Amino acid sequence: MTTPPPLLGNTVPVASRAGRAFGWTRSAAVGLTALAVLAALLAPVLAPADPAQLTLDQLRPPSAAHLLGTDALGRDVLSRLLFALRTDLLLMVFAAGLPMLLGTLIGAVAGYRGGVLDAALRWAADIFQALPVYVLLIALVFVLGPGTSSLLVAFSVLGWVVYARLIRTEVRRVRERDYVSAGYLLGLSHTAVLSRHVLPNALRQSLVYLATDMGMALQGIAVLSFFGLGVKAGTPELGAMVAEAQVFLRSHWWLAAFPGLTIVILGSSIAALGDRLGDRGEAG
Amino acid sequence: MTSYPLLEVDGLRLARKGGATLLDGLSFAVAAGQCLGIVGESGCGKSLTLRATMGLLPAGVELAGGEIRLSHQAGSAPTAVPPGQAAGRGLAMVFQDSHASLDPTTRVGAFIADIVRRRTGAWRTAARKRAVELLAAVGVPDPGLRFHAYPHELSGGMRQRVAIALALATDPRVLLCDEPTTALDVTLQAEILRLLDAARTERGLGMVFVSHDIAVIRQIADVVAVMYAGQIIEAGPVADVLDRSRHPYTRALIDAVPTLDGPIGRFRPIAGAPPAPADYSPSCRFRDRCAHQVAACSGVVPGIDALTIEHRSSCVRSPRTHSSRDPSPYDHSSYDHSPGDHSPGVHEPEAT
Amino acid sequence: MPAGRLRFVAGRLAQVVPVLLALLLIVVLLQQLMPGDPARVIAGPRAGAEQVARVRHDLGLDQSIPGQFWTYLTHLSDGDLGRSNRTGIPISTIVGERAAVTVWLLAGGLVVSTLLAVPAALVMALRPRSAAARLCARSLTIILNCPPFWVGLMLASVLALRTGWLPVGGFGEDTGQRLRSMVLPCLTIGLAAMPLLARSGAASLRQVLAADHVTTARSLGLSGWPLVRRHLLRNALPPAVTLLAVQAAALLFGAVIVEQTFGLPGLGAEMVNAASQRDFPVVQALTLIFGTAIIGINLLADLAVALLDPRTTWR
Repeated sequence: MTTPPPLLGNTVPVASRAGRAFGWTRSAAVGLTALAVLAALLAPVLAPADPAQLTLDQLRPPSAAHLLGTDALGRDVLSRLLFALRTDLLLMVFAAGLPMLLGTLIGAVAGYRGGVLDAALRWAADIFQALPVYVLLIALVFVLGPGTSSLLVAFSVLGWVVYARLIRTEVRRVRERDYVSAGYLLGLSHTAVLSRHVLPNALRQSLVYLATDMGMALQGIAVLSFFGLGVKAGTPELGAMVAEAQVFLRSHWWLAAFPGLTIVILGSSIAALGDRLGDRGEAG
Repeated sequence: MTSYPLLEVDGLRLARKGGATLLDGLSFAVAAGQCLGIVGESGCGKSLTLRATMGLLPAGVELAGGEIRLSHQAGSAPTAVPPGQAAGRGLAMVFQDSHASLDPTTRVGAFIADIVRRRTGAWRTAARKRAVELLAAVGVPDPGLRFHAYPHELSGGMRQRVAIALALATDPRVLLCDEPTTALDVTLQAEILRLLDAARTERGLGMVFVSHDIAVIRQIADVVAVMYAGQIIEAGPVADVLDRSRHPYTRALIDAVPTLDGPIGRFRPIAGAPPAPADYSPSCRFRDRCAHQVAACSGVVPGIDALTIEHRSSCVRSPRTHSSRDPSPYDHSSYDHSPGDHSPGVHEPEAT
Repeated sequence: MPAGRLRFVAGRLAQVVPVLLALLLIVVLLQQLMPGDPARVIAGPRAGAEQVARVRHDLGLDQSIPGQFWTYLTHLSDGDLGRSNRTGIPISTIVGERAAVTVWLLAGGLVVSTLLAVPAALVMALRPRSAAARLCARSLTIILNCPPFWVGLMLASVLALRTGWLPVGGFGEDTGQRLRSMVLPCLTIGLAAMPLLARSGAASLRQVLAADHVTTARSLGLSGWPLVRRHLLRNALPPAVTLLAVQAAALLFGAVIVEQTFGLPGLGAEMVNAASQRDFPVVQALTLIFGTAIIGINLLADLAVALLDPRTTWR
């Protein structure tokens, strides 16, 4: 029958997305992220001085010898910035990646097994999402004692829920749809079904969250270090650098400005990359 | 005596932003007390035509040409109105889905009273009184009580009555109806049609009624325009167009409706699908689906206009195709012209 | 209040109970997670062996976890949150003194962020293709990624240090000084909360704009501010309130950061100071208080949304 079904008028889909026109911001984001990663990787080569080397050249303004000046202990700020980038990028990747790994595992198992496990996950996820994550972050890091490992544990414990939910939903969807279909009948193992049919799709969605989480993790690490709860004292880290510079704000504003600016640029670039992933996910 | 039409849409042209043409120079006119039905398959641009007339284009669609003329006083010639200016000021519209088309957070009576006040500048109490009157006029039982109801507290038929009351609150000259009965069951459908018909005769409204349902059009419209792929391809008095169709598409559309009383064999779905807007061509757009194709079909075959109520068709095989626009003013007397010009160009589509 | 609504409210309250219990359990479990002897840590570095033993007994640290949980609950029901191990001051006193600053800071921050976010949301929703909307969207991404502590310092550097218009930190003596010292913190927290608020506002406005009933309102000749006020904002408010409540946790964390940065004597600064000085009882109590506050805000938002929406069925 081609008798037309009654439809809701002749609405025409909107073709253009506001984001597309802004191609150059995306390119800038890719470029800046790549630059940051490269700078962090090559920090030992690029750094003009040892970031921990104390000198008597204290609180110098930017000059040819010290491009970003020196800090209160006479250390070269540019070198510290490069090594701090290394610290923060590494911590950020783990602080965002570990929760994703943990959540994916929990979500996949719970979703695939179903039953009590699945119910427990849903119950736990509901409660976790109602809990005040950031405050618990401070409490956890405090209890575990300052340091990078506490940071990572705290981020993992508090961050897995979103990913577990996402994967669980995807697993349940595929299970219900393809319950008797190909993979199952062909006798593929559980892991094979999971890895071939479920994870590729779910992971793409997870990646969008991961990009957002990385920005948040970056800020979280910087904030906790700013409070003295993050990295060990003396480790070059962006938030800690701002904290050290706080006292000299009146006379040496650049000491606080540059590390903060680095966080802003890095975080924004990663967020823009995440938006791009999101667009692709919707389109595909 | 010559009278002017209330609403004239002349050469309406719509396109996607920087893309395909959606409506191709559509023209039609409606006189006081007259109902123009527009029929066609989904996607042919029926609803879009009404939206464009109101100046309510969906995002991504833009006006590429044409003029909308509205007569603001009885007996005066229609004057051009900028797009959107006529909404609520002479033109009103009733939508298909009464559930989605009423604001869920506003009480229906307050909404109607608000429109009345905006329109007339009446005092609050006077506007409320008028709103209750309007609710009573559209057949809402217990209007004083229903005044305080939210849309979700009303049934589907009642909501559509409220939607009609809202439209009437703007005191329109022409009422545009976009499939207002499609979402309703048959009994309610008949009641709403009767209500609209009564409003038309009592208030001398002009009415444009869009539907994909030929039976509904036959019931309510005086004049009908058949749309296909963004063009009007046949137009004229209802009886002429529906019973003595000249365009194979109209014929096919009528045959595609299963009837209870008609012979079983008459029910024949139209093969294929209408072309996408990007594929609209200057030649006959129906030719790929048509059983009566001739060489002339791939020549330039423009749509026709419905500015007069004379029976015409764009099909190259029918006589008096796309006649140039009738220069004589709109004439009510041409209403009852004899259906004697039944042409030999009409073909019963044959089953193959 | 009709019985239906009462039942609805009771139902939502019942849903909150397990979350609150989970929070309490976590707060109690924090005692266990600490490396070393919890009683030693809780009593503080200056406590003698006798004091440590008393703490162990008082908190039931020598009991099983359910036992500790029960002890904690009994203390809580007496309004006893424990004592700071630095100063020995009861935590309930500390909270009473400092809560006002935090509440004012949050209120001020909310006002600032609303003032900043509403225009941005309107521009992004009503003129999505305009250059202004794109500029807003990009700026929001950048602002979202500005660490609040750094923004606070930069604002202080420009608006306070350079010009002397505003105090850099601290919390003056009289009302005038206090008001002036709240300006920068409120601005900072407002900026930090604004991107999320603007985004969620724009999203819910866009949703409403695309709704058929807005087309109907337009077809009746409504446009401009009357349309926005009567038919857009009223419909966009409930989802925006929900989204805002979801951000409450982030807002509160912002307050913690800003108080610490500007040296305001609020609960957040107290928590950070306590954490850096290993004052466990204070950290524990404030975790509970902040957590309860956030759960409470979400509950209130839920109830407000239900009351705002006439379609709510009270079942």
